Amino acid sequence: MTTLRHNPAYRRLRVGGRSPLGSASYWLGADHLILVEDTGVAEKSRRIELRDIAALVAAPTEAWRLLNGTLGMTLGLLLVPFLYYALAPGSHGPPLFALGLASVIVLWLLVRHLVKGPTCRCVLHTRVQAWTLPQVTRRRDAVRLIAELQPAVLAAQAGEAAPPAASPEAAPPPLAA
Amino acid sequence: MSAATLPCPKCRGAFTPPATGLEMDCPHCRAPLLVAAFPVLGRGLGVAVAAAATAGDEAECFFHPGRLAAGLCGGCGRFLCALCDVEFAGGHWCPKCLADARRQASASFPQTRARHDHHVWLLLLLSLLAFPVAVATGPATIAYALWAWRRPPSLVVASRRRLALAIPLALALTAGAAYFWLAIAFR
Repeated sequence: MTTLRHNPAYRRLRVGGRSPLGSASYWLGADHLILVEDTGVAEKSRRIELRDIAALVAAPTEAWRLLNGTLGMTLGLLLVPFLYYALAPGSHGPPLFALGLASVIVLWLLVRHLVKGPTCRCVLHTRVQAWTLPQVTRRRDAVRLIAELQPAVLAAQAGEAAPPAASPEAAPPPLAA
Repeated sequence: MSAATLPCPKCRGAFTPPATGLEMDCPHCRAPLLVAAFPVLGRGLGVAVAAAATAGDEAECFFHPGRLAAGLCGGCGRFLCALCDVEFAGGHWCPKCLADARRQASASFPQTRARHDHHVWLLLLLSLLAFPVAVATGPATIAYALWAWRRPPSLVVASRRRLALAIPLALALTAGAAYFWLAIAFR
């Protein structure tokens, strides 16, 4: 059986990825999208027809600020004793090496987090269901996903009327109970 | 005809997607949202049917003529009596549209396949870490790999290739562990 990777009918979207909790990949076919989630124990695949996709919405999450704070504080807590041992007279090889290595690791994690950009939660709506998309956790990934999906979805839904939009003066709908 | 609304992923407040552009602030929590709305959003309300209902005539249920209509189906726009009106996922549906929606939803239901190749390689790792036990776990790994060969493979990873690679490694580990025990027995 050919995998999606070797099937010319599918193109892998440049979103998704891995985390300690698993991985996810997105594959665009002619008229549908296949979402594959892998937890290591099992692989869950979901097929979504492009003509059923009603909207994609991404909102920021608190993980961005939380990780900034946590990694920054951890780096600070490691750098202070590192500098102490570095500047203290005498030889302090082992603690200096351990603190230095830990600092480099945390610094790399912090820089990687900052480069990836703000975190978000991306939800895909169809007429019947709504899914939080796995591994689309950065705003730049959401922008990329919309850019890649939008032409295909619009082509699949050609002929449908555009969604009705409220006038600028209309009051926002009330919060759902 | 009211504009279609979506829930904000952050505060769950309903908002109307913009007519153009991608970025907007949620009107409730002011979170900067990225929104891409497509033509099928909000599809379904029959404007012509609603106009006839406001003309002053009492509307009848499409499925039960003679029964007063209590609402409109959010999918096809037909009038529904209280018996036919099904409230589901925040909308009102006639039985036919609900059945159609469930069929579409079932087509989108996830299919799950176990990653047997992962499990086989975990067993292999266990055999390596607890080497003397490999005389038992090695054959178990081979048996599992042969059984998993006929199971549905992964959609994205060449899982059968990984299974095929695990079998000779498990054989080698089993042979090594067997030699270890024989060496101890005949020392």
